[in-house]
Amino acid sequence: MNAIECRDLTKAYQDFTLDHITFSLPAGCILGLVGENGAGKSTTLKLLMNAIPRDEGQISLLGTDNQSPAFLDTKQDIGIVLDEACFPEVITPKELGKIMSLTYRNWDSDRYRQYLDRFRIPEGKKFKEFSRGMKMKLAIAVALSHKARLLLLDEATSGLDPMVRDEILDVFNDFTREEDHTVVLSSHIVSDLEKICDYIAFLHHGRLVLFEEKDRLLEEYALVKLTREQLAELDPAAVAGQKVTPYGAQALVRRDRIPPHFVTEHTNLEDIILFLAQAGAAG
Amino acid sequence: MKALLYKDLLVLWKQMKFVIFMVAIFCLVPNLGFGLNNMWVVYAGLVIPTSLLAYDERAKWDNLAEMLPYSPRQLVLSRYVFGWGAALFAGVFYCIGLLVNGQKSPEAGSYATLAALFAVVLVFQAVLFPLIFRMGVEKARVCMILVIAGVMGVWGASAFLLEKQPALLTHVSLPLVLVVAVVLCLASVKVAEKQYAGRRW
Repeated sequence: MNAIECRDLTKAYQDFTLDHITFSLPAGCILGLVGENGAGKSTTLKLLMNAIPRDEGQISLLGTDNQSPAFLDTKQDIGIVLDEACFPEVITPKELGKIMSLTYRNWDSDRYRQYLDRFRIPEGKKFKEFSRGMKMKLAIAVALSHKARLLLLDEATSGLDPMVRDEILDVFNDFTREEDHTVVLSSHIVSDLEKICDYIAFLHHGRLVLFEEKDRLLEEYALVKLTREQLAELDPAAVAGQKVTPYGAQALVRRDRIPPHFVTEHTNLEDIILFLAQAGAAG
Repeated sequence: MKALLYKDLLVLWKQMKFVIFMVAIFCLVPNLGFGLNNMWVVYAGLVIPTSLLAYDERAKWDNLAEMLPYSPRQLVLSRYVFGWGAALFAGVFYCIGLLVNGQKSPEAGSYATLAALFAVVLVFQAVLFPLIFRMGVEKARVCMILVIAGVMGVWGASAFLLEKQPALLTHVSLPLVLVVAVVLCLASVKVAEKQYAGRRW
């Protein structure tokens, strides 16, 4: 079963259009939604939750059309973390737990308390007195304490120090140990996504440039360092992106389309995204 | 909706304790000729729920709330219910004030005045809340000032008219005014729901 099915999703603003986004995400996977600031990541997540009206397209989450009345019930199974933790400033984690227990029918107070302990969040401190890291951890504790099957995380790790980010990524990994648990994590910290994601969706200027399994992506692409003349000899279809400097060139190539005598280097997700983004900007 | 009302109660108690005491105290004391107890009933019904909306906007709670399992109706209606509750809270103290001071001070007000005040609250909620749900509290603030000026104006004009021609009061059916106000306010919930949906961009 697909946790998310998104077909031809379109949303036009005056100066930005999210353009016919189509993808399906199998249940049990972690999807990394990557793209520059303003690429449309947050808009996509809002549209997935039907928090803003779309112009075109169809979306279903956990098998429910997100514009049907039944989606209100499906929201019980979806955990949300926005780029800022948006809880009332004067509320304490303990009080927030009470509010959420009245919100989610599957609220698990014990699990919530365990997460508060694990994240070292004081129960009686006001939300406004927390650091950004603590606020995000609290938002994540809430999202994980109502037996959600799908987590939607919008820049949940941005602005956090590497140790906290690592801790949080471990939590997401734990979450997907249950096979029907799915995570969508939007971020522009590609290294985070590389650590935990099964699928990568790359949004660029409102267009879905790629949606691919991460391992396949890393297998498919390689980096080559070469001269300008060598670059000119390459089959254009083999070159996904290139950087030309006065001293030579570097290209992101499809491994199966370049002659065997080229020495390829292993690439990482960040390089792939950067080259594809530059190619997209040039194209 | 229980969760939303509980959250509002917590925020109200923590952010506006002082205001709650002011409402309670000024609704209890005799009128003193300034209409203080009248004003605080209207204040409770209009300003308290609006202030809570402003706190939510500042915390960006509204951004999160629309993704949580709350229906647009619950999100909108909870504000009205809270406004009604706040007016009722003030009304209870107003009534206690009447019981305590009514005999000795005719300026303490009357139950009829209180009923009229509830009608005023409901009518102005009916006008103000859909605007707030459409534009947000910050942008609707100007409208709110106009609404409050309107309340004062209508109140002042009515008092002036009734002072000149007390017989007019006999032609006004207070129960009918209340019923009209309730109907208006309930209709406004529907309008506010639509405005809320339209606000999402």
